[in-house]
Amino acid sequence: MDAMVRIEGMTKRYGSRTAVSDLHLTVGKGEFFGYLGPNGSGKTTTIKSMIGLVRPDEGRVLVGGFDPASDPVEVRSRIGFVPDTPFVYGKLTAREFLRFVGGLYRMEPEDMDKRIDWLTGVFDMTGWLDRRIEGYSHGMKQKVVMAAAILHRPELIILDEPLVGLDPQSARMVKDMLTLINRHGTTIFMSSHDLSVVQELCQRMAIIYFGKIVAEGTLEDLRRQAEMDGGHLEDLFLKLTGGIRRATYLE
Amino acid sequence: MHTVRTLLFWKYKLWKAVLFDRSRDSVIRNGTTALVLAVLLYTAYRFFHDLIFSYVTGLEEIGFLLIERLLSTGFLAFFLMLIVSSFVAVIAVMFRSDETEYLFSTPISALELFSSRFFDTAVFSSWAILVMALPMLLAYARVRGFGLAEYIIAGIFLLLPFVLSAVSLGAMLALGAVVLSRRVSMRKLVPAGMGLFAALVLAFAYLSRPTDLQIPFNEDFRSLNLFINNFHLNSHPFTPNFWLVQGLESLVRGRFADFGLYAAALLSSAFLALALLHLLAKNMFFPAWLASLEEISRLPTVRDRTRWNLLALVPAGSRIRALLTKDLILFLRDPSQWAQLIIILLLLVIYFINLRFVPTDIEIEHWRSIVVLMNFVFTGFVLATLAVRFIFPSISLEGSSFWVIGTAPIPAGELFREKFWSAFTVFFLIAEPMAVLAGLMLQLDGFYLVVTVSGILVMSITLSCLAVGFGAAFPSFAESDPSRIASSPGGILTITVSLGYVGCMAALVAVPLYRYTGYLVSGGMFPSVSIAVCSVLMLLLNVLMVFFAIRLGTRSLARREY
Repeated sequence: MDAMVRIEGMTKRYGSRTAVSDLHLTVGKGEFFGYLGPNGSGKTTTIKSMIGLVRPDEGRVLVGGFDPASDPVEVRSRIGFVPDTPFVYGKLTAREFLRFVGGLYRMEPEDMDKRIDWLTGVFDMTGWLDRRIEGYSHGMKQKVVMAAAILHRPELIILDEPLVGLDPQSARMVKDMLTLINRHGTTIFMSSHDLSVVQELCQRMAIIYFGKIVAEGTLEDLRRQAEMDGGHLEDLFLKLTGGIRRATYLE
Repeated sequence: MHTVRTLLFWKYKLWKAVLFDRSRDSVIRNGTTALVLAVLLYTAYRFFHDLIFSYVTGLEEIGFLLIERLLSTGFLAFFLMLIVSSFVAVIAVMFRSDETEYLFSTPISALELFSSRFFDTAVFSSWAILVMALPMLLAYARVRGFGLAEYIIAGIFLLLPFVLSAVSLGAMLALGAVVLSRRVSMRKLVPAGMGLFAALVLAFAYLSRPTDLQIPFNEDFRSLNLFINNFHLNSHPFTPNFWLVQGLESLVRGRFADFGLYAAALLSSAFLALALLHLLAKNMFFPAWLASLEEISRLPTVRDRTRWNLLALVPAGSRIRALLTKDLILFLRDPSQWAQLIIILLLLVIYFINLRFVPTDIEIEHWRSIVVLMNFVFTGFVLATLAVRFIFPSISLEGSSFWVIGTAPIPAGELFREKFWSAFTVFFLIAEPMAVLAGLMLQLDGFYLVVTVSGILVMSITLSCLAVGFGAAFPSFAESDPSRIASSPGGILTITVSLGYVGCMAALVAVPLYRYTGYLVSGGMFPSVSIAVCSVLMLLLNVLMVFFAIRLGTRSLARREY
């Protein structure tokens, strides 16, 4: 399988703290990949390095064959990004924001308008489309950001905690939407704390802990690496990241 | 009172942590800021002392009167700037703030909350303006031979009530505007309020009687005498700037009864303003805050695509058009932004009202060249101020939403160009008519007019570029108040560099002006060599500054990590 994302020996330090150390990771084209790790383990640094918002101190990152550090525009034109916190321009309406994003990706106006109407219909936002975003709830803002990431038909969608703040109906709809666009060939890289969602949607996954990948592969591969015969991803995750040991202190 | 003290104590701890942070980066940042600020203040002090006040005091009979008028004009501008700055800071700090929302969920009364935040607001909205005023005041104090006692007395009895009056007025206007916004939208209210304010100031300018200051008639100063006597607005006996300047004069001349009168006028005005503000805050702050929340939920739907269609005509790529449209809509929907632009334009109108009274039949040619140079410097100063206030924050104001641009396929150079062109277009539309109008009002002949108009055009380009470049290199994404962004370390550095640049431009313009005046007075050779040399130097200076700004800005944007 061709690689959509290839990270080779990446190390990133912030002062004396090493956020990511000698990281190796490959995500194939068309894969739905889950990226797991406790808070502060290096997930966001990995994601930012894929977009070119952080430069590795050592090693390199390739997205679609391009290095985001040296060729950020090529890389960014191929991806859609959903951050963990949906900060968007509050004074714009959702339609204006989506048109703004479409303009940045050089979409044709007719195509852009069609996609906006379709996406806002799918995300059940039609009644809100011409209202200013500053009056939206957190979940509504999350939907706007999600629509913006999908709008320009990216080859790779990078999601950082995409379901935070969504009501159960919206969360279901987002999961269905991601599954659908993945079936149409879009690669999805999803970082999440919601282990059940990762288990449900992702074909392969990796667990990062203290800046190093401690397990990678399908759920079965991970079980083998953790020497567990069965059980949920949550048990496996806790075992690999030392969570069970910490939980016993509570007792 | 205990609650207010607690809140202020923690605010103090917070600022102490920021200012005295011992990490390497903070020490470098704070040290650089302090150094730049010290250089800026010292340079401005030397400018006022050596070039203006020392020279003017040497003019027999009218020297000190002229200083009074200069100070009065300066302080009128500071007073208006303090009102606007306080208005905007109150809206940003007290109403559009997560901190206020959190504090309202704790058992603190609305008045206690307002009092603690008002202190915060007063400091924030006035410190930068006071820093701007300091060199002028110190230069004045030096030529007047102030001792330590005079400094302390003037600070406590004149300057402090002057600032408190303006800041309280601004806060009252903001409270009133937010309460009114329950019935009238802010979008309609702010221009209406600003329009009313502008109309009042203009009416005041036209209708008020000039003070009966008479300078003894002297043939050499006939025209100048006429000019000074016609400074209507800034010498009215019922304005705080008049009381401040007269108070300083009385203090230095030992006329303590007069000093007492002017100090009493300032102190009683400040107390009255604070008492009214206290009353308003007690009864209106919480309802006003609730109204500000309701305003968001009452926002109408927007189906206006006219702006999109109009901007489709702009000859630029779709990315630049998208950025331009977004910036335009955000500007139009943020009343605090254009309210400030209106007030700065209003200050320009006051300038032009005064310019109207400059005698055009000046027989002494040197006075004409001085008037031309002063007009050039004033325009440069206004442009530098506008640049740091409106252009410098443009990248910072992307705020937490900057990730949208940061993750989009837009090269740093393209983003820089969009910010530059949108800023320069507005600058051009303000500065060039201003230069031409000033030239026509002063009845300048061809050479003077060409120097003024072309010099200001070049300054508009370079100052816009500098502000965009420094804005990209020193952003404050966490800050949403443009005035705070402008007074950040990066903003101070920008204004220092910009004013230094304006100073260099003034020097390069002054030489050919001086030579040309000499040519008109004494005849001889047309000063083509000095004009050519200064033009080349001016070109080199501007190319260098523009290149530096573009490189600084694009490299910072391209290398920024988030």
